[in-house]
Amino acid sequence: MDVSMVKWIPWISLLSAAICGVLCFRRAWGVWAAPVTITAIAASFVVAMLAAPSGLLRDDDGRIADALGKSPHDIGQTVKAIDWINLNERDALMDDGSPPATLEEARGLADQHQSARIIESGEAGYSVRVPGLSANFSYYIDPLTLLMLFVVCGIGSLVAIYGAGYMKGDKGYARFFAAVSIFIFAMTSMVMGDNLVLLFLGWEMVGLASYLLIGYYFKKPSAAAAARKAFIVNRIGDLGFALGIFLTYMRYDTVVISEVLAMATSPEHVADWRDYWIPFLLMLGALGKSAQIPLYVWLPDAMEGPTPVSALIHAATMVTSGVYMIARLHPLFENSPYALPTVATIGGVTAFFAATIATSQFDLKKIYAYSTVSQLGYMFLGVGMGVRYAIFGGLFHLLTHAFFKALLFLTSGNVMHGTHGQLDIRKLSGLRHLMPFTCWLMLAGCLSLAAFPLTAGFFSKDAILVGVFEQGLAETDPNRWYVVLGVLGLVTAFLTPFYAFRAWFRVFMGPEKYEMGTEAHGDEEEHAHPSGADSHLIDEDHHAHDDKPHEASWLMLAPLFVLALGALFVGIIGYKPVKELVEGSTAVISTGKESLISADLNLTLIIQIASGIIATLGILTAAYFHWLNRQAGQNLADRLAGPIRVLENKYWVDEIYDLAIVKPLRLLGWIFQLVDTLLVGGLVKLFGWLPRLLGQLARPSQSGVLHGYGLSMLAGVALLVLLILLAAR
Amino acid sequence: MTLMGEKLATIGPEMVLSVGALLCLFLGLARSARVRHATPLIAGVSLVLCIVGPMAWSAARPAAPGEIALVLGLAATPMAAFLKITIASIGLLLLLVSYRTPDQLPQNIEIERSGAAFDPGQTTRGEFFAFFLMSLAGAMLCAGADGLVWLFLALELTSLPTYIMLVTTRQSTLAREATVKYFFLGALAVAMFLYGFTLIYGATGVTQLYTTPVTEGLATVQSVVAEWRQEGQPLPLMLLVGMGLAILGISFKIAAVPMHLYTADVYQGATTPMTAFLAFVPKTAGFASLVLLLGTLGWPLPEPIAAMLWIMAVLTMTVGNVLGLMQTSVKRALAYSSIAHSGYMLVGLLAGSAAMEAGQPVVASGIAGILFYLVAYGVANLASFGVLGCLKRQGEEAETYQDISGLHHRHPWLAAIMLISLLSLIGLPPLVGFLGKIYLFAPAFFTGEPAMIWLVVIALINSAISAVYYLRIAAAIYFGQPSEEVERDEQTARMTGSGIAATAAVVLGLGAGALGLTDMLAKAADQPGKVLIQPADTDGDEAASEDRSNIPSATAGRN
Repeated sequence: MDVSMVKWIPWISLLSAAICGVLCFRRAWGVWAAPVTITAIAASFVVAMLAAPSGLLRDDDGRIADALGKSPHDIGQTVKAIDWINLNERDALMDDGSPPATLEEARGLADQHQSARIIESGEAGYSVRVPGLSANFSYYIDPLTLLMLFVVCGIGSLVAIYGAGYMKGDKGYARFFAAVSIFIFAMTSMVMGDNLVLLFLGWEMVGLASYLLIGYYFKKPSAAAAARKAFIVNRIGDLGFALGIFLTYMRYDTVVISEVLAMATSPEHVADWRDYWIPFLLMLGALGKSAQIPLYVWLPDAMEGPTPVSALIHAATMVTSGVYMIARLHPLFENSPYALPTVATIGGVTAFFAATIATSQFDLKKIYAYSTVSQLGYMFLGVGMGVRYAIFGGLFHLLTHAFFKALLFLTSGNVMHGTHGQLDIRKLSGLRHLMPFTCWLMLAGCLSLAAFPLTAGFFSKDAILVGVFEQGLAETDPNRWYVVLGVLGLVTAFLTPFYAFRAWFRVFMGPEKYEMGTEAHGDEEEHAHPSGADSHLIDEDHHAHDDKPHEASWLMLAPLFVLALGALFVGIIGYKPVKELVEGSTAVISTGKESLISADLNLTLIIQIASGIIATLGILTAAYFHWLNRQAGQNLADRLAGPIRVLENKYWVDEIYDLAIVKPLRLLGWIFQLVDTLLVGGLVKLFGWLPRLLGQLARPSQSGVLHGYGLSMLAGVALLVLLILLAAR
Repeated sequence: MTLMGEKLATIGPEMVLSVGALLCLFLGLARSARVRHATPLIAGVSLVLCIVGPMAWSAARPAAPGEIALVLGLAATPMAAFLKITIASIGLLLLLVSYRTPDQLPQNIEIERSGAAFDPGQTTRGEFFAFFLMSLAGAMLCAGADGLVWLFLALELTSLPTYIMLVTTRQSTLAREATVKYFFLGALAVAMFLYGFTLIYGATGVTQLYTTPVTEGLATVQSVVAEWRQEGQPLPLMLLVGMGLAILGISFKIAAVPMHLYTADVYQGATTPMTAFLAFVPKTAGFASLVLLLGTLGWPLPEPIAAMLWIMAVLTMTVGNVLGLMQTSVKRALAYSSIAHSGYMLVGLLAGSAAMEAGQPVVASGIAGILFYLVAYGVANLASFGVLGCLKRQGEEAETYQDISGLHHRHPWLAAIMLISLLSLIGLPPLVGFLGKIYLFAPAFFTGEPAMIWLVVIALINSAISAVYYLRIAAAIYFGQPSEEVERDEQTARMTGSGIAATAAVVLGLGAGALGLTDMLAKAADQPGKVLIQPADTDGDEAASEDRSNIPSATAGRN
């Protein structure tokens, strides 16, 4: 399939969104929304996997060529779908109407035009670009795009299949799938966009889909509040991102990513103050979207949305946008001496900080939410390095995390589904016989999250840590700060298996005990629905509290098996291909190939053994306190009541934000309102009364509005004509 | 072809609409209720003919290479062609939104219900659709005007029907008061621009604005001004004052400061579909006229005119937005926002085609910006007023924030349409309003003059201010408590019209380039008034046609 086919990928989903929108009209039509959406996303996946690889640059033996030192124009292909914004930007031509053939000609031509610049374009020679603004629906396909498309469309179709079962009988079935389709449209536009404006548009639209889906149960006040919180927190980050894009445009006169990167990595490029600030502004956007300190607070609340949404948007795909953006614009970050260390530090600290909170939460989905924040921190740590292996690790972790975290969320969705919304791990115990598949599937996810040796998470997390230590222990110019971050990463690597298995042992092991939730899944229609496979699993009285937790339907379990296979084996299967992909992408254009440490120090092996031991220790600790001897766990918890209270309350960050930011802003808002009513309101009244007043003066006996209007108009005209007379002198 | 024939050929769509109008007028008085009810259909068919006719014609008779086909008048000038298609298309949507308006009048309901003998004196259905078409025809004529007399008549043909439509479509003292204000202040404005036209005539000695095949070889305002400029003479004061008065008078149609005072009262007094009409049709006619008038001067505009327009633009958008912010009535807020949007479009008028160089793409011209923004504002405006028109509180039209509060919970589709149109009016991507604002402001920005850049900055600040009240409406719809008293009027057509407009806002926002709209704009904005008609017998006088296409350039004087 030709690479130009990729231009259809986003539009397939948009079409599906439109169809689902129509299906919203009649409840009976709603059932068709799921097949339409699943087909669309799967079709996108197929197109992406068939078409995109043919556009990649390969070396002689068919492998993807290494990106080091190459031009972004060569590494990837630009495929234009449609014109969108195209202002004034054009290629200047020689007098005879031909493009310049030699560099001299191009230089001469560039001198004739204001702030024109010369672009070296592969085989075509040179072109002289006169600046303007050009941002089209045009897609840039490089190995990084391919990796992201694999994650977005691949995980997306699996989650959509699961959603078809999970949302069955819900009133807004079609509405749900319409929002999912919009999300896929936005997300694919974002990862494929060849310019920052399109990237930003996708970025905002995934946000929109996210709010729509967080607030899906909009009648629930907590869901509406969570949607608002996500909206507001993301606005802070996005303001930074927008300013960053603007500054990039000011600096490089273009928003086309490949051109920006080409200029930023060219040897003649001299960094100035704008280059120092661009990454920090862009970073703000990444911190908001990927829920890193200090903008992480929205993500745990976002779990108010339906569980498939938590899996797709708030674990596997959307929240990794920040990581993607940093990787995509890595050369820009390298141009500022402090940008990457900041990213790495924020990532490392967030990973640890969120992991500590996760160890003491009781809501299953909340645990995984904080775990997501923590794992995203790892990814930031990875892409925040100037070392190839770490960048690869960050992006590889993005892939493996997508598998195991989606699996974990969806299996906890099964638990929620089977227990009528009960997610409190204190109230569930020993469900392994009632929900056998869910139990073992979640175990696969937990093992991978815990980075148990040979699972997917093991390889990707170790790649990050190896990269961090490589930079920290570099032979020339070692930076001890990175050693600190690496150790912090290892400590987090202990906390991770602990909280993951704490939840798993609590819910599935030990004596069988449960308290059903109060939330019936779906509504009345579910009973009437003649479901084949799962009818025996649904009790007659769905609302009764005394029925048993039940296993999910096969429609919901089937995609989970695929995810579980991925969570266990992607590390082994995917290691080589992903490494090839990352090393052929724009993320490593200017990152050296050679290792920073001496060859006789086998860092990889040391870290792998260390982290394998740490992971096992973490699992064993959790097993002892939360399975084998729960009383001991309780005793320990009582002794540590103080610190645990701090963790249970999530360090009171929400409260601190409320006190430090929300309250003062409220006060400010109140002051503004006062000013508004007194000053602006007064002015407006004056405006409103002026014509009346004039009218009254002219003809006191009548209401005078019309006369007043007429007089005001004439006065205005007289003034402006006077202006002409004066100006013409 | 005879001269008269050539002239008539440029106004094909207008003739279709006039015939339709006459038919409506007569059939509206028919004895049979069925025939009377067919009048909106006739109006619709004539509008469809205006859109489809030229297309079918040009498909049936493809133009020879190098020749631009004479397509039922649509080839008159590219700008006119673009505007005529726009006016007919949005007119069709307006018809969808307003076609039930006459049926809802108490006297009409009375007649239909009582089954009493039909009394022609009591019905206004035929008039409504006849005047509807006439006003649209007037707007089209403005777009194709080539002389001051024509322009004056066309502007009046646009306005006069609206007075009658305004007063006959709503039985309320509010509507009567609004009509009186609109009529008298309108008359004042007409006096003003007519005086301006007189002064222009006095200064240049001609009334013809541009050269057409009919008037080939004669002097025009454009050629006279070009000659003065070429000789380095300052433009006479009389011309400048005349232009100034003409602009100010026409500003009444576009509701720009200082001629905006009537807007809020009139828009509020009119029945809601009528408000949508008033906010689009006279505005389009006004901007077409302003582009044609200022096109004779050429961009960059003479300093005094530019200064006046600059002040008007700043005041118009600021007054519109600040007052819009303060309204308790959604309808009044949208009325003030209509003023503000005129202010934005004045930015494009100021930038003009100064930023154009040969070979530059389309949208570097402020004129293209205006033409595109008319479409962008047209659809969003129609959708928002259309939604408002679908709601009733105890039989009265909905207009306050309370009336639309919680709309989302009761009528999610109406709420979604409203949201899209509001976001488009703010100018958020990927909606058409965003592209519209880019096309308007970018040319001004690219002129590189400090005054213009400041104007863009002020316009952007104003967009931010406008977001406050637009979002307040959206917040009321989505987060407010639904009111039991407000109900949806069964208006499928009205909702369909708004829905199509909202869809267009999305589709055009994403695909204006893909749909070829930007290419059309490129042609349309190239040179206002540039006539592309070429004689059918192209062979033999290549040179003559060469000459003709060069006429608007500064070198072509009175030769």
